[in-house]
Amino acid sequence: MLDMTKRDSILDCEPGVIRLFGAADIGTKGLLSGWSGPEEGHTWNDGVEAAYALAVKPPVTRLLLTLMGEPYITRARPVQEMTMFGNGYRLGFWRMSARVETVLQVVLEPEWWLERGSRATMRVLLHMPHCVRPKDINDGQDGRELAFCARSLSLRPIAG
Amino acid sequence: MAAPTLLGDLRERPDGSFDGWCWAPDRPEERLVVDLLVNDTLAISMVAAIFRRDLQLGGHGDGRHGFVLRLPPGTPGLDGDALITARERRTGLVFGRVLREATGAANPGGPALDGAALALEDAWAALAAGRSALPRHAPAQRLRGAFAALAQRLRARTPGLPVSAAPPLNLPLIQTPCLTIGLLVRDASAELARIAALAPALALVRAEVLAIDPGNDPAAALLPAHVRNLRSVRDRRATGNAAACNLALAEARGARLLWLGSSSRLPSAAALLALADAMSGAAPALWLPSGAALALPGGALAGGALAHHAIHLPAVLGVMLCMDRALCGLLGPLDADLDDGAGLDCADLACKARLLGVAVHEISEPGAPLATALRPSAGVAAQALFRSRWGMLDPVRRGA
Repeated sequence: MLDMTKRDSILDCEPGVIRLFGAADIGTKGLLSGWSGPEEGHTWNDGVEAAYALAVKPPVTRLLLTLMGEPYITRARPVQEMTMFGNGYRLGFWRMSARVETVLQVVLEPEWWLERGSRATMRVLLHMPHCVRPKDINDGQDGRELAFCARSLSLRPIAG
Repeated sequence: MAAPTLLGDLRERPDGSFDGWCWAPDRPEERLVVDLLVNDTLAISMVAAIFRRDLQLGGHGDGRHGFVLRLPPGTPGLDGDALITARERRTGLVFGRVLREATGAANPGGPALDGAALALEDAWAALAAGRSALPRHAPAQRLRGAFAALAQRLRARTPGLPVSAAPPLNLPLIQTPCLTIGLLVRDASAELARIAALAPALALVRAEVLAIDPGNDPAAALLPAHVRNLRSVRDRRATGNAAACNLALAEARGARLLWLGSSSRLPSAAALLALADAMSGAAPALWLPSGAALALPGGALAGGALAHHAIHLPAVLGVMLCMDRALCGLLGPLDADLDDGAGLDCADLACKARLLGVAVHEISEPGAPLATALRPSAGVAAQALFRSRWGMLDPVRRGA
């Protein structure tokens, strides 16, 4: 489990720029809870809920949040489900059944952001009820509760 | 303060996405943001932070500077040929370009040529950035030295550039050109190379490119697709140098026309010198580059040798001219009867200019073999006509 006392509390995002999970870019920035340590090019969740915090500069427009990654799918765990919340709003739900690169996209309305001074922040929570320890299903020795391997995220302005 | 440095690369992958890397040696730990532009419009950006062992082994920081980008569906400009440019966001430095070609598009230039075009565009940007440093009357020798250094750098940068990495030549859109650079399209591939060679000078001289296409080469119709902002005029009658040049004089928007014939080798230098002349406010003049092209077929002539005696030039390359259009109105059009492919028509113009007291300049290439100027390549009838018109100016006959 990631030592949450050593992380940056928020990830400043520039709309239009793809950020990469993993040690090189995002690292632990903005990872609030429920994440394992960043690895090379990706970061796994660890537990039923994983949360991260994003910030953009106001004024906020409609933004498309794209989270790209790969669900933990095995024969013993053929489906992963994810519900995404942003500042308490339910953003989306996905049921994933293939261990392939998966793109999750949701529209973030401007009023969902919390504006304070020079920052508008959003706490994004991923709820993944089917996370599992690989060692519990005879898939290696990994003791983390895995559901989704996050690779990148981006915010992109959209019309309307 | 030192200029920022940047290393990087951009390649198109078989699946249509793009990968590459971007690293600043003076900021080795920084993850740089890469912008991908489609035809100069920002399409997508990302932090270059993917680990690549080859970068690490190559001494590029910790190797975490790679990126892989897929253009979003519906990105404008992808339905035809598209120039994909990779740029580092903070400094704005461009470190890679790739031409995404529309399926089935022909490429009259070929990979080497397009590679040169790519590199010349970069050089052109570099040259334009330092334009204030260029003297108004840069001696031809210095200009040639600058362009030779440029060419050497370009050659070093473009070995084995694949066809897929071949961008079109993106000339600047000049609304009110000072100079029109005209050329007769006989071989689209060759003309594309000549335009590429001109690229460094075009932004400086505010020149437009005008291609006279007599319809000999079907690939000529593709030139506008490969050279943005090139103006093409198609006329089946403009098959010879004189007719095409006269048509270019009529169509040119610039106050001057730099007419490139088939054997011009110093167009960039010529354009710069002509511009320096124009900017100096001097009286209109006729510029005749000479010397280097004498070794080329068609570039030298017996009649030309006569002409050079007449107007005191070491030699005449009759197929490249820089003309003030107002002056040409005075001198009249090029004489098609002297258009035998050896340049007598232009030598004729030069002689007329001399008689009228107009300055005739040459841009010479030191060390050019003048003996080649004596090759009797001009047509007999044209030579006879030329001699009858200008023979009295021959210093040999005058016993000078």
